[in-house]
Amino acid sequence: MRNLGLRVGIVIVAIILAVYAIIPTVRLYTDKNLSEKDKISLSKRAIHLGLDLKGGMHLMLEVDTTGIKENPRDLRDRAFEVIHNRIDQFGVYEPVIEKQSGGRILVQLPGVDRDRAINLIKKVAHLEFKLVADDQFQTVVQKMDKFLAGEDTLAFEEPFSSYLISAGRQAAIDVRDEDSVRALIAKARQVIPEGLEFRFGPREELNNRNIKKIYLLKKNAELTGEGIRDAQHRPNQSGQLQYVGSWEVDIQFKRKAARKFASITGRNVNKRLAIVLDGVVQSAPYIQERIPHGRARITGNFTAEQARDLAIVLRAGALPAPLKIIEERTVGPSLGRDSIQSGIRAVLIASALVIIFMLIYYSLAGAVADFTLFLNLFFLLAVLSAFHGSLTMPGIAGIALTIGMAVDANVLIFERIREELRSGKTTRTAIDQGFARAWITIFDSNITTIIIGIILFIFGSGPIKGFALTLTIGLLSNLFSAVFIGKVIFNYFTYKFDVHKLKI
Amino acid sequence: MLEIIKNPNIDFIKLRNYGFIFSAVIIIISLGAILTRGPNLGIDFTGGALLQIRFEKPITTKALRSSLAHIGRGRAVIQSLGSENREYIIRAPEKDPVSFSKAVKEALNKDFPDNKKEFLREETVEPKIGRELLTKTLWAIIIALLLILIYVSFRFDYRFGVAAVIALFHDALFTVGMLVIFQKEFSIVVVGALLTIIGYSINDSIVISDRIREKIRKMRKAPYNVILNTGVNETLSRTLLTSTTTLMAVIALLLFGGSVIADFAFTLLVGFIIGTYSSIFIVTNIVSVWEEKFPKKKK
Repeated sequence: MRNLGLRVGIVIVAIILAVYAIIPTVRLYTDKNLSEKDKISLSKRAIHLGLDLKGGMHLMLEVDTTGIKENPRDLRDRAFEVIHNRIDQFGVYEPVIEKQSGGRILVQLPGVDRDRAINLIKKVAHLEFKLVADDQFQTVVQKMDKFLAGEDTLAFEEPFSSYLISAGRQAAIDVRDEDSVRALIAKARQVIPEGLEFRFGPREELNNRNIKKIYLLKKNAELTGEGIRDAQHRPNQSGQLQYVGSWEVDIQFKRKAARKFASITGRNVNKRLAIVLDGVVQSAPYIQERIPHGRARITGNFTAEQARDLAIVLRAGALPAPLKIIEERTVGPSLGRDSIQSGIRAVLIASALVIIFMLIYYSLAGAVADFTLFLNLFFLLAVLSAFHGSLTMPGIAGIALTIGMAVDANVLIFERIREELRSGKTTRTAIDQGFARAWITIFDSNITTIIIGIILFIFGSGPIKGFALTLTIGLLSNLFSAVFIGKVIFNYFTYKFDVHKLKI
Repeated sequence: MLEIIKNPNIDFIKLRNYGFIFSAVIIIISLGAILTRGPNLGIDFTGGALLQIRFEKPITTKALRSSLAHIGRGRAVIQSLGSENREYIIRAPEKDPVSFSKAVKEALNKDFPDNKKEFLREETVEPKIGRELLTKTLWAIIIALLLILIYVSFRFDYRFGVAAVIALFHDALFTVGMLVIFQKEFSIVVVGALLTIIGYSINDSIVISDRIREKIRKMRKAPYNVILNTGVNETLSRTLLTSTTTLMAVIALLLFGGSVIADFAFTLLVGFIIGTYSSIFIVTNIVSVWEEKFPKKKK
């Protein structure tokens, strides 16, 4: 038989690749003893469950621009920064926050408390400038250590500072310790001087660790975001050698704020002024000199990107447009669980019925069809896994329909082989001719359905996309499984075992 | 060897007028239903709010309705799920869905304070989003149809392309009609099901057209109608087998798939049944009439 060895090889390689692709998914959903770190790294290579299956909320936000003359895209970007900042604090696992066309923002939060999330998102952005009490940091930390150690001397000698790590000239903590650190701060509240507070920076990566910088700030804000007229990023203008090629942020204050700013900067030269958005310290530049005319520059080794983000944060503080939720779809966790269960049950029952039917109708050949059907589903899940695709309830429906199409391919092939056998051809010729003739039909019919699948994927929205995805992948893998692999199996067995009478 | 039909030889062309009459009747009924009642567009398209609630203790639809009536929302649709009278869907097309949702939740908490509620699903869609979705969906359907028409005309005689498109309109129209008659809600998921039906309908048309294309080459001397009929008969066992297995899968979805995809499965069920019929009775018969009225010159 022509190329049989090569074709068997291709099938084996495909199966091995599929097994390799599917392992992370299997581990993620079956292994109960995974560490948090393993879970995160596995989930990047595994099938992702849609919000309808695991519970969570899908929100489409729109910046309400009625009566506002500013550029809607800029408003959207500023709102995006605000939302991003807040969701970061919320500590949701795998959130999706995306800019959409038409000044919209898509937010998907798996498994959260709905009311809390909505409040967080609809809150008005709050930007403040607060002085950093670097000079008191050491003493406060020491006092806290002493206080906390007194309570539980055996555990640590320096309970608080043992969590601190250094990020350049700045103290930071590991994100995993955040809850413990916050608890310690709350506990040692009484030794933290009145008028001072600890605040964290956003989550960032340092030497492969997720960290947050920690700051000691004066509680009273020196200035709020309403005082900002505009903030823009631009290439560094200072001409100083150390900043060549870097970017800076140019801020303009409104008149009243400008006067205030001049006096603050005049009194606090060489101190740091933290820019705090919704309680998170975005940046804490040093005050180098008194800034008289309400026009300040924040320099540092910023990349264009960083400077742009900081400028957006500054402008966000003066966000004039409220965010409106124009679409919300929230699924509670128990409905998600029910859906998974009923979805899987439906697919299993459908498969079982089809498998039994094929076995009865086509006997041994039916078993081959069942095997290729199984491979088809297997490849489908492997591809979803490899591309980190998401599985939704409509997606499960798409899988059920793939089963239908896969069976159709087998029926077309087998009916053809039967016809060829009836017309008196030998088993081998009948198999070859049957596959060859059926292929033309299967190709034409699958292609049209794939066209529909792709159109649905491109133009459809949320639920339809999930359906289109599994259907399209399923049909492609169907062409491979039912036609290519099916034929390899038939050829292999008829040639190896010299079959003369085919049970079909 | 198990066979559904042994060597079928039914003269479908002779039956074609019955087919046309039957199709005409069901299309008129469907169109009538669509035009008089209008499709029951869901909140996906009209905008509005939906709440799916599971109560701890059973509760009646009447009690829910009077609670909603107190806040002036008595016209909302209340749908009971399952048989225990504990799970309900409340939905209404609203201009301000967010406040509707909030008002309903407050009313239920006030009127049934001792009955613990779990909000399984909450959806609010602004009318603007609904309209966008509707236009987007219509465009998706139009583009899909055009591409298919082009593909089929390119691969087969264009007459089969036109006949296939007529058949799929026939299937889609009937299914929509049934959805209206059975008071099913048109959600985005149901539209997905309609598109799937279109896909399957085309699929069936192609399988038969394919066979006829082959027969035209082999049976050069035979009259056109005989060729058409042979094509349908030779693919008849495939048509029935595939319908059987697909319907098994769809019925499994309908019975065991849960509330979320029940409407989806219902739509598919109706569509696949009519699709099987139309692939046997519509496509070839249109081509046969076409050939009789405007015979093509033999190449």
